[in-house]
Amino acid sequence: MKHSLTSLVAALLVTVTAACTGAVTEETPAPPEKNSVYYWKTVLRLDSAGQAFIRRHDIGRIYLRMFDVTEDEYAPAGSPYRAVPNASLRIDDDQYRLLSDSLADIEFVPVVYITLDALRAMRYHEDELASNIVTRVRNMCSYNALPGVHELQLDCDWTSTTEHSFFSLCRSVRQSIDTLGLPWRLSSTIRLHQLARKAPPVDRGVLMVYNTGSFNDPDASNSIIDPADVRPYMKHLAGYPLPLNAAYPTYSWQLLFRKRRFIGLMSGLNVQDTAQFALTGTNRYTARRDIPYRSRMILKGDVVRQESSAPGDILAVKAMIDRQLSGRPHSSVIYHLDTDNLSKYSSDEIDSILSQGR
Amino acid sequence: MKSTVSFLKAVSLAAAAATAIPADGCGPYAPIIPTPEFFALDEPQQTAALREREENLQLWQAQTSADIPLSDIEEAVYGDTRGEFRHKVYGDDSPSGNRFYTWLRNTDDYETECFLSVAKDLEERRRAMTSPWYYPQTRGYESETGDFDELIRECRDYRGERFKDRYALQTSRALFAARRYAECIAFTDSAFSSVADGNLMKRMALRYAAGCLRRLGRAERSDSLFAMTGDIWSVCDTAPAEYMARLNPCAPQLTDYIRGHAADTAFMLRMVPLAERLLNDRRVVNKGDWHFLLAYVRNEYCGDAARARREALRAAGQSFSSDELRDLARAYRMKFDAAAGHAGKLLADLRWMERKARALCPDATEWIRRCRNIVYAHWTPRLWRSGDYSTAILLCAYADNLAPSIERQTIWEHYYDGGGWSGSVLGSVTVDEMRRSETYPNTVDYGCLSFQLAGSLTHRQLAAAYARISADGSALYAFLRRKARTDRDYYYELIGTLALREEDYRQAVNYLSKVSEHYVRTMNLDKGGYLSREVFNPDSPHRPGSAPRAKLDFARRMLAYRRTMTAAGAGADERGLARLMYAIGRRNSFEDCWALTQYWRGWVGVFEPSLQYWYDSFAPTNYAFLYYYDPETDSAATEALYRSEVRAALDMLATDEARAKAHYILGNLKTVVRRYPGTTTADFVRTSCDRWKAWI
Repeated sequence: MKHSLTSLVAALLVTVTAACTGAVTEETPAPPEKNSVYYWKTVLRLDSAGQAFIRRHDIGRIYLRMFDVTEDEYAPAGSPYRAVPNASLRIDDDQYRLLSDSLADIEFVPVVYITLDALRAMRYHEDELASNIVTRVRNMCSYNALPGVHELQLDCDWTSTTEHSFFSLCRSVRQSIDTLGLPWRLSSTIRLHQLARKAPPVDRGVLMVYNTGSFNDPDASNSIIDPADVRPYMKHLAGYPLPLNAAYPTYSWQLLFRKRRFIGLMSGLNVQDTAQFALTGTNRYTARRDIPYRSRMILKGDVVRQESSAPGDILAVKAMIDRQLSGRPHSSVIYHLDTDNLSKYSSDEIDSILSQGR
Repeated sequence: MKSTVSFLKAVSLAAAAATAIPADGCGPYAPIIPTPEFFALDEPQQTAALREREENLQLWQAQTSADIPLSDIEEAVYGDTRGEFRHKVYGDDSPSGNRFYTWLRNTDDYETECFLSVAKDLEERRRAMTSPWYYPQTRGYESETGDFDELIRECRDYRGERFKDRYALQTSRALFAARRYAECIAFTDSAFSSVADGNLMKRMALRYAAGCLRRLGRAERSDSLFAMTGDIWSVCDTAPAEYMARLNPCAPQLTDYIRGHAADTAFMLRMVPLAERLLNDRRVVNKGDWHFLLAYVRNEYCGDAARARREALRAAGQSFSSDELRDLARAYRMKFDAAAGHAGKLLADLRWMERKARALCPDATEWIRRCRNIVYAHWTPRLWRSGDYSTAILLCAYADNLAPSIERQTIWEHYYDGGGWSGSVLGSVTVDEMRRSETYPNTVDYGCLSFQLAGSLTHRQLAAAYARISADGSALYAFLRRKARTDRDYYYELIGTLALREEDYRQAVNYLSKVSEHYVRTMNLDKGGYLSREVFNPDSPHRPGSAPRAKLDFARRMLAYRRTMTAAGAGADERGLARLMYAIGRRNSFEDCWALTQYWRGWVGVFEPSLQYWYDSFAPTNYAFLYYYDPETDSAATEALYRSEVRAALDMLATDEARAKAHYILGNLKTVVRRYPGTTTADFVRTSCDRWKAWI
C-alpha cells in the first residue's frame, strides 16, 4: 500500500513537474520503452557480431554519438568558431546501406557531447552554439539517412558554475529544433552528482550509472561501477522531475598508477602474464620490470588496476535504481556497443541488464 | 597618440612632500633611433591580395562611373552581405552617402545588380562550407553539389559581353566549391582561352583551375598555373621563388614573397644569384627590384656597403614592380648617401620624403621613421664628427619636428586618485600656442635629440652654430628652418646655460640678459618650480613658483663673487667669504639646484637607441659626445672641488668673525659657538636659534 501510494505521489510529482519544465506533455508523447545501447566510436562499424547482438537482444534504440563540441583555443575572442565540432562520426557507404536496410526499424538518437571548455567559451552565445549543433546534426542525419530519429540528446558534465549556461543551451536547442521544423524531443544525460541539482529543461534524461567512482583514486576498488558509490545518490532519484532511462556500463579498462599517482588509462595490457606482472591486490597487478607498451613505458613497480563491469555489480545497482523508479516507465541502456566487451557477458546477463525497468 | 602631461597638480603634491630631496625633471624622454623597414614586408600575401582588390575596384569604377569613389564600391562589392546589398538597392530607404548604390538605383543597372547578387550568394555559400560546422545535407554526386548547381547554371546562362569574364570567374569558383574539379579545369581553359593573360578575372579563375589540378594530383601543371597567375604561396615546389623566377619573373608577387622573407639570412643570400640572373633576363622589365634587393642583401647580410651603394645607385632610374618599392629604394639610397656624406641630393630627397609624411598620407608614420633613421643614424653623427654642428642641429631639429602630430598638442589633466594616475582631455592647442604658454608643459622642444645636441656644445660653439642656423641663406637651411625652432630666446637661453656650466658667468650674463622673462616662464623647468630653489641656501624651505630671473641673477652673483675673490683692494676676509660663496654656488648649481646648469636629472637615460642600434654599441660609438652629468663620477668631482674650495676659502680668512660667519654659512653652528664664542655670529646663534641640539 505504502509502495503504491509512494508510486502514485511520485507519478503525480513527475506529471506536475514535467508540466512546469516543459517536459513530456500531451504534445510530446513519451517514447515507448525499448532496449537501448550507446554507440560511442568515431567510425560506425556494425559488423556481423554487432548486428547479431542487436537482433538477439531486440535492441530498438541506439544512442549514436555524432560529434564532440570542443573549444578552439586558437580562435580569437569574439570569433563564432570558439566552439567547434570534433571527432565527427564517419559513416562509410557500406554502413550507410546497412542503416537503410537491416537497421531501418531501429530508432537512432543522435548524441552530442559538449566539453565544459566549449560551454564556457560560448557563454552568452548559447543560441549560436545551439543553432550550429542542431543544424549540423540535422544535416548528418539527412546525409547518412539515419532512420527513426525522433530525439536529440546533449551530453555534458555540467556543474554548479556551468549549470546556467548548459540550461540556456538546452532552451536554445529546443528553440532551434522548432525553428527548423524538426519533430524531435530533447534529452540529456544526467550524471549521478547532477541528481541533487535542478533538472535541465529537457524532455527526458538518461542517468549515467557508470564512472561512479573516482578513477584516479589509488585506493578505489572499482571506479566504473560500485554499488557503494551509487547508494548515496538514490535518495534524489524517486522525486527527480524528469523521466529517466538508466545506462549501465559493460566496458572494462586498466588504470596505471605510479607511486599512487594516476598516470593514465590503458587497454589490452596482458596483466595475466606472470613474467611481467604480479597480482598484488584484488584487481591490482604490479609490474615486475620496465615494460614498453605502445607509446608508453610502464616502469617497474607501477600498479595496474584492472576494472570491469561485473554483472553482479551492474545488477545490484540496477535493482537499486529500479526500486527508486518503480511505477515510472524507464528503459535500460547499455554503454556501450562494443562486441569485444559484450562478449564477456552471457546472453542472459545482457537480457537481465536490459529486461527490467518497465 | 600625443599626450601632454600637465603636472600642475602633480608638482603641487610632489613639492609638498619633497622639500628635502632633489626634484627630478621630467624628460627629456630618451630619443630613439627608429628602425623602420626599408625592404621587408609584413604579410606579403595580404599585400598581394589587397593589390588585386584595388585592381578589381578600379575595374568596377571603369564599368560603372568614374565619379564613384573606390571606397563606396568597396563597401558594396566586398563589405555588404547579399541581404544588405539587395536591401540597399531595392529597399525603400535610399542608402545614405554611398554613391555606388545611388548610381545603381538611379540608372536601374539591373545587370550589375544581378551579377553582384549572384556573386554574393556564391560567396556566402562558400563561406558556409568553410565553417567548421558545415556538413552537407544530401549524399550523392549530383545532389552533393546541389548547393551550387543552381548558381552554376545561372552563371553559365549569361550571354552578355560586359560581365562575361566576371561570370566565367564565378562559374569557375562555383565548380571548384562543388568539387567538380575536372569540369572546372575544362571550363576555365575554354572560357578564358581568348582572354588576355593580364586579365584579372582570368588570373583569379586560373588559380581555381590550379587548385583543381592539385586535388586531382597533377602537381606540376598546378604549380605552373599558380606561378603564371602570381600565386607563389600556393606553389608546392621546394624553392618557390626560384620556380616563380623561371616562369613569371615579372610578377610583383615574387618580390613581395622575397620581401616577406627579408629576415631569413640564408634565404636572402640564396636570392643573390637569382637576382643577378634576372638582371640578365630579357623578360624582366622591373630591374629596379633586383638592383634594390642586391643593395639590401649586400649591405645587411654581406657587410659590403660600397658594393651595396653601387647597386642602390643602379636601381635609381630603373623600372620597379610597384611605386612602393621604387620609393623604398630611393629611401635606402638616401641612407647610403648619408653614411658617405653625399649631400648633393639631400634637399631634393627631403622635399620628396616630406610629401610622404603629410597628415593625409596613410604611411606617414613609417616615412617619418625612415627620415629619422636616416638623419639620426647617419647624418647627425657624420656631421658632428666633421664639426658641422649647425647643419647637424638644424637637420636633426627638422627630423624631430617632421611629424604632423607636432602641430596640435592635446592638453591632459592628470591627477592621482589614490589608486593611481588618471587623465582626462582638457582640450588642445597648436604647437605655437604651447610654446607661448606659461601654463601648459612643452613636450616638443626640450625632449628632442636636437636640443640634446645643442646642449652638448660649448657656449661659444653653440653661439657660432646658431649664428649660421639663423642666417645661412642656402636653400637647404631655408627648407630645414621651416620645421625647426630657431627663435633667439630658445638658443640664447641654452647658450647662457652652457656658459653657466663652464663658469663663464660674464658670457652667461651676456646671453641670459637678452632672454625675455616670458620665455623663461614658458620653460618646463620654470613651470615645474625647479628654478625657484635658493641656490646659496638650498636647505631653506622650497616655495615652488616661477623664477624667470633665477639663472641671470645667479650668473650676476657668481660674477660678483669672482670679482671680489680676485679684487686687489678686498681684504682677506672679504675675498675668503666670496670664495666660499662662489664654491657653494658652483656646487649647488650642479647638484641641489641642477636646473641652473642642466635640463633634466633622474633615471632618464640621455640617449637610448632602440633595437639593433642598442646591441651594436651604436650610442657609445656615435653619440658619446652627448652631454651627460653622471650622478656618480661627475657628482663626485663636483663634491671634491667643492670641499677643496671650501678649505681654501676658510684658510684665507683672517679673523674669527669671518670664520664664524663662514661656518655659519656652512651650517656648522656648533663650530661657531664652541670655537668662536665671542663673535657676533655666535651670539646670534645663541640668542636666535631655537633648535639647541644644532649648536649646544
